[in-house]
Amino acid sequence: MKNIWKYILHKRTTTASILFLTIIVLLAVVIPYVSPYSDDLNGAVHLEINNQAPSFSHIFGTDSAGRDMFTLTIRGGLVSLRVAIGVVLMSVVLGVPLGLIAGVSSKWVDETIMRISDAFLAFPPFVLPIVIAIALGGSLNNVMFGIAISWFPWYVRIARAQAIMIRSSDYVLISKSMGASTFYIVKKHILPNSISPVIVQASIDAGYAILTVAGLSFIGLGAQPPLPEWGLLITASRAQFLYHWWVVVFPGIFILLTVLSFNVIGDDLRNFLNPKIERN
Amino acid sequence: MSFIVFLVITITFFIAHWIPGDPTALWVGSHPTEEQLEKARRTLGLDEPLVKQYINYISNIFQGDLGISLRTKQPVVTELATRFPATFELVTISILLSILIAFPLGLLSAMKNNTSTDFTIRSLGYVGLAIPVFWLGMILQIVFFAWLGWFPLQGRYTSDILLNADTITSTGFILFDTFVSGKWSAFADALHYIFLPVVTLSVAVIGLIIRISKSSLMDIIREPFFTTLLSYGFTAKEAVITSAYKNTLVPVSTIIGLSYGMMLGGTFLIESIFDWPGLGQFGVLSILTGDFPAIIGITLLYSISYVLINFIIDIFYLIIDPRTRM
Repeated sequence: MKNIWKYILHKRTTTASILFLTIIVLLAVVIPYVSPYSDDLNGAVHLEINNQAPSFSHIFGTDSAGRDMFTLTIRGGLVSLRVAIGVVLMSVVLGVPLGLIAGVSSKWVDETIMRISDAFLAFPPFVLPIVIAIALGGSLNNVMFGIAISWFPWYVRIARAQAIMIRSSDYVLISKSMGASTFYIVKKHILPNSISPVIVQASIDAGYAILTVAGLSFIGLGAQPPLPEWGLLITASRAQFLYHWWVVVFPGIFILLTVLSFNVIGDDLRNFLNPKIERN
Repeated sequence: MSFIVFLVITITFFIAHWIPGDPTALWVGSHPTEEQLEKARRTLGLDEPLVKQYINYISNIFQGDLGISLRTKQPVVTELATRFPATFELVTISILLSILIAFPLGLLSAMKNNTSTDFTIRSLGYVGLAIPVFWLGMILQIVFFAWLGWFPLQGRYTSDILLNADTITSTGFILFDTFVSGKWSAFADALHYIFLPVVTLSVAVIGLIIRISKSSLMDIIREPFFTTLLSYGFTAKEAVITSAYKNTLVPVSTIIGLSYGMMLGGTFLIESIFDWPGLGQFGVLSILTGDFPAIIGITLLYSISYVLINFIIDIFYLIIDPRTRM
């Protein structure tokens, strides 16, 4: 664990990404207390100042309802944090146990779990979350659940691959010969070894979760007003965006940088855990 | 493959059933009488038991019957068929363009590892994968339509062109038809319209293909056979262009399968931004109006196409990589 921090701090890209994400979250937490426009977070409408270009009093401009885009965009960081954690946690909780079971069970159980989880991968990404969100009703939580349903098979695969690799290693065979139960082996040997690949996948997925939710909110399925979700902020002013670039540009840049940060962290972690790739 | 298709159909059926609300309400409109509701339920087959509905559903699918769109009152299959060419053209051109741009860039990035060229290409890949597509589409509209006026805002062609050349398209594949029949002005017009949607749809996939082609060539450069080629006096560039690139084809084509899925999902966003009269736009309209048979129809069509594409790619492996023929 000590090494990992040393490695991460040594990589400037990772340090910058972690710093960026931390600042985003901290700002999002304090913004309602420091912004003079904190009412806007609850859906206040000021039509007399709508669609104003960026200025000193509204540095990101105002949207079609006259709300301060800076306050909304910054607060959006908290929504995205919730999305990232929620989607990844649900996918891991669904996927990892199934993968471990598949990896240590009989061929029949393994096949059944894998075929069913593969069926979820047969849907193009984005399409299954749409249908599930419609079935459950378009809300942020349902969309997050829909994404988790279409992503958990990746975690099934990761956990299963680890389980299969480790279950036939010498030390596990020895442990088994000394009477260790399957449950003990999973808990003591397989699970700890699955954690690193799961973390790598999770940190990359955290970014894509934000990206996917933004897209779904854009077509009206994800976050609902007045939640300042970034995709929704972009949609809200869609009718007149062509001549009010600021309502589109700023939330989009925040999505881009946040997703980028998660990807960079995920890649650097992967390189750390896979020294073979790192050396090239 | 057929088993996966069967599972996809089953999952879709259960999701469709799970959908809350009464589809008959949308079918009959506001203030229906009890009689109208009853009739609608019978027309839609909702009075049957669940197992019967499931069997009906599957047999209908195999007969090419996906039900009737609640919004347009037309068979879903007809609706999908009229919109298929627009989406097919958009996705196919985007995939081809992405491969043509990204594959060489990825290889170049691997050959120039840790140089500024590599850094630039890699950053491009990172940004491409992190960019929200709908946002990119809107930014392109702001810059190239509202500010510069270089490209049309949305749509598939200028309407007068289609009116003048009345038989411009018999199949719906506008680019193909106009190209084959030599209607160059209409062809150029359609290209002008498809440009921004294609760019928007391609950016993420370009990012993905750059990364995969780079990392797979990096693996190959470390192989002993590559060193052998170099010791024979080939330059690194010659070794890559004449033989090493072939080894990247398998991982790259796997990713192309995945890219197809990404693009199909992307059509929902991009077609509704660019008012592109294809399946994605139809899908979003169906979502907004709660037209469930249409949504389920699109989901099935997209998923089955996706499975099919990946199946074709698996066969492609056998052709390009003799090792997989064992």
